[in-house]
Amino acid sequence: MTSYTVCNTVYFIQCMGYSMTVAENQFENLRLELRRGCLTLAVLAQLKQEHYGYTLRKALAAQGLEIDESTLYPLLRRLESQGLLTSEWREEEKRNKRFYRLSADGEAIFARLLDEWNAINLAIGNIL
Amino acid sequence: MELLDRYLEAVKKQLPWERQDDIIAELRANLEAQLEDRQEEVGHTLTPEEAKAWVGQLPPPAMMAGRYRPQQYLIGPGLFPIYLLILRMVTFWVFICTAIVNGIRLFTQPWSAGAVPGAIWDVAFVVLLNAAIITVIFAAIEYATLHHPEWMPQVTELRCKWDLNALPQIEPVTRGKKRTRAHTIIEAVAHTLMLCWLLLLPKYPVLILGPGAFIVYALPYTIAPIIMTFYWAVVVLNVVQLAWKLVDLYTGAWRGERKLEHFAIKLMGIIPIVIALRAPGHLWVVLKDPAAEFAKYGNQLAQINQAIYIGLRIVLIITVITFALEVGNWFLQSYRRSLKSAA
Repeated sequence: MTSYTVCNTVYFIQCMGYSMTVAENQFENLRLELRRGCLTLAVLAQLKQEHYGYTLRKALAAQGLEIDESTLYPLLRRLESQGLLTSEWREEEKRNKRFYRLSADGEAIFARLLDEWNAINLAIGNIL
Repeated sequence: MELLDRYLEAVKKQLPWERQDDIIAELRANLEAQLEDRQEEVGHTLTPEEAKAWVGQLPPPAMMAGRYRPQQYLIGPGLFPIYLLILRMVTFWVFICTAIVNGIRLFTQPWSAGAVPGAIWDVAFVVLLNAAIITVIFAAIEYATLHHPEWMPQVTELRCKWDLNALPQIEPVTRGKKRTRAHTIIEAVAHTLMLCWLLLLPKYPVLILGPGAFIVYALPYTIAPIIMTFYWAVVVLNVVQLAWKLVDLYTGAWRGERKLEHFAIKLMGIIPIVIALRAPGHLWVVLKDPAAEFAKYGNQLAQINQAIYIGLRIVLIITVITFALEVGNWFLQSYRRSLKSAA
């Protein structure tokens, strides 16, 4: 965890409401930490099919995973810079949009992450 | 929509310039598609109030732009422990050295009202300057090793390597009560009160002499200026001790053995005795009116000063010997421990 992440988390929490209690803050920090890795996995899974930012957000929301704009759009850029996604600008409905999909490297990493997710899920299930 | 344009402009201003246009173009496409969906939902073009509400629910521009920036830190987790170690060590010794130098300067230069604040400012400035220099150096190393790991392979290696032999020895469990945080806080509070008492002494000698202070006023003797120099040296020593305690409290070092602190304070404790011993003419007590009273009290005065001189010399000798014995004993124990662990 870097100071950058902490600052952003703190800022985000401050923006959510100044009346948060310490316990709520603590919960929100832990919730964000828990969600961070899950979101990456969900985005990679969803991008087996091509999407541009907004339709991806809608598709994830339709399946119960709401992600705000300031998290999803930068995440797409980051995953692309890591070589896990490919993107291209294309015109659709008279508007230029950037479409993303999983790259070959991304597919390999996604498969490994999925195994890891299943193992963690199983272990947590056993523990609980 | 003008509000959306203004929102995007606000985001753009905080983005890295080389990626601004690309990111804003993508963001605009996404947000415009989102806006269209919203307009379809309500069945008309958004009114100014609705537009305000819609843009208002977007993340703050600073947060939006911030998430596009690479993760940033001056000193990363690989170097941070080394940075912290060096920062603590250097600032500690710089503080001690500048405090001593300024303390000596304070006592050797003519007294003025601004001398003490000036000395405190000098110490703080030098300590802060050193901390800033160390931070800049480590930030530069971090940047260099992150962007050009081939420049400093030793530093890159240092991040991942560690030495089994460098692991700290387990201190033997000492008998008696374990030191607690509350104990250290009480010590600091007591030390603060003692410092206040010390600072009140020149104005209210009754605090040390009791009713005897009124008898002293009636005596033909008074203290020489060197006693005040000695007094201020004791005050500085106590300030250093208190500051050290507070730093210990802040950093959690009170849990440790604190041998270094113990030795440093003992060593600094010798300074006021040396200052007192160097009194001009070995005079610690003088006559209030030497011209009128020397004939009557001259002999008595000489005896008092001689007694003080002998007393101070004995105190100095005992302090130096006990200090040397303690340091020697500590070295011997450390040496024995290292022999044991090597075996």
